[in-house]
Amino acid sequence: MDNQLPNFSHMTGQDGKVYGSHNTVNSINPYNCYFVVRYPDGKVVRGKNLFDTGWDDIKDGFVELTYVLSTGKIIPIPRFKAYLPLVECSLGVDGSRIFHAIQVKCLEDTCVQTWRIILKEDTIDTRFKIGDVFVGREPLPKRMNKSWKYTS
Amino acid sequence: MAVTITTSFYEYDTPDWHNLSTVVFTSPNLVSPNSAGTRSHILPGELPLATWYEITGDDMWRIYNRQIASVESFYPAVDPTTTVSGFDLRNSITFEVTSGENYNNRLTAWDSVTHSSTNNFLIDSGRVKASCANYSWSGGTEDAPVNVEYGGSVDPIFQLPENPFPPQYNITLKGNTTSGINDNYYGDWDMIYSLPTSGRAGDYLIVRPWLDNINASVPYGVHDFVITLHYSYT
Repeated sequence: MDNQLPNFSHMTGQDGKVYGSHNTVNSINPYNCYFVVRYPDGKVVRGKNLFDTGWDDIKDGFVELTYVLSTGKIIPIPRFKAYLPLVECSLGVDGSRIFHAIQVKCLEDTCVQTWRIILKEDTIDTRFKIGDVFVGREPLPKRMNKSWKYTS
Repeated sequence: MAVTITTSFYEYDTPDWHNLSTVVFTSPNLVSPNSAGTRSHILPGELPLATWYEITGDDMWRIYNRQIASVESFYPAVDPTTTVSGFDLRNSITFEVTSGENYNNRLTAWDSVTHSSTNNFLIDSGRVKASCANYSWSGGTEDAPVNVEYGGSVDPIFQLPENPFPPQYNITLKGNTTSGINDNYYGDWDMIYSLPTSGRAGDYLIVRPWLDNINASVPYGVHDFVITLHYSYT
């Protein structure tokens, strides 16, 4: 998969618009969305983009996790024991691609809190706007994979 | 980590993998291969539809007679708890993970590239069907495709992936909807790239799309839709 978005026309530095037959989707610009983590010694590490997030290169022990969207919105995630952010994407057989959300799984003692950051808004389902955050809960995972990153 | 997924199909007469551009359902009375973009306007109910796979700006191949003889419209149901057969790389679309991992995979159909609505006659009336299977491969080269059979003893080179999800035959694809106890999508499951040193390749998903009940009740017109793989990654 290359870094092309054939269905994102008129993309600006901030966002992209996808024209469908019955719907029009406004989306973030995936090249300009990233996370930022801060360590206790003040060191700050910035992620890359939504194609290659850079999350797996992050070391444990940070104290703060923040997401920056291409719209300029900054979304701080409260402090938890560990995080696993998942980018939700869809890929059509015609090469079309949409970024739907970032779901940040946040580890608590008895459950996982999910912070879902919306990355698109459309003209049919108007409940969600770019940058909206929905918080939910789900059971603890049966096993923790290496992509979970622990805070200090 | 970031995930890379390629979408392709195998062309049998001049053996090669091609990057898929479009799946085309149109008249069978065209010569195969034909130029990409060739369409024939036929009256629903007058002729059966043929399935073609198309490369951007190049050729398109009719899957039935240029790839491998098989039932063009659908796969016969097979008990997925015992053995899996009927799939063949020569008549299916292949999604291959070439690096990384992707979770919560779901294959379904939407009306357009916005991947968000099903306002399309074929989708809303349940005519968009597919048979799907996911697997990994331990047979060496992929250039000699054979029947996909795992769980049986006939051809053990196709293996269950790390997180197996049962194959499904002739399911309806319709957004994220369900009908009774049946999901109108294939999923959810995970796919993980196998290092070459593991002796395995993949994971793969193969999909054979088809249209059901094409008759005089289908209105004139172009009924484009998009078959889409949804997934998550880090």
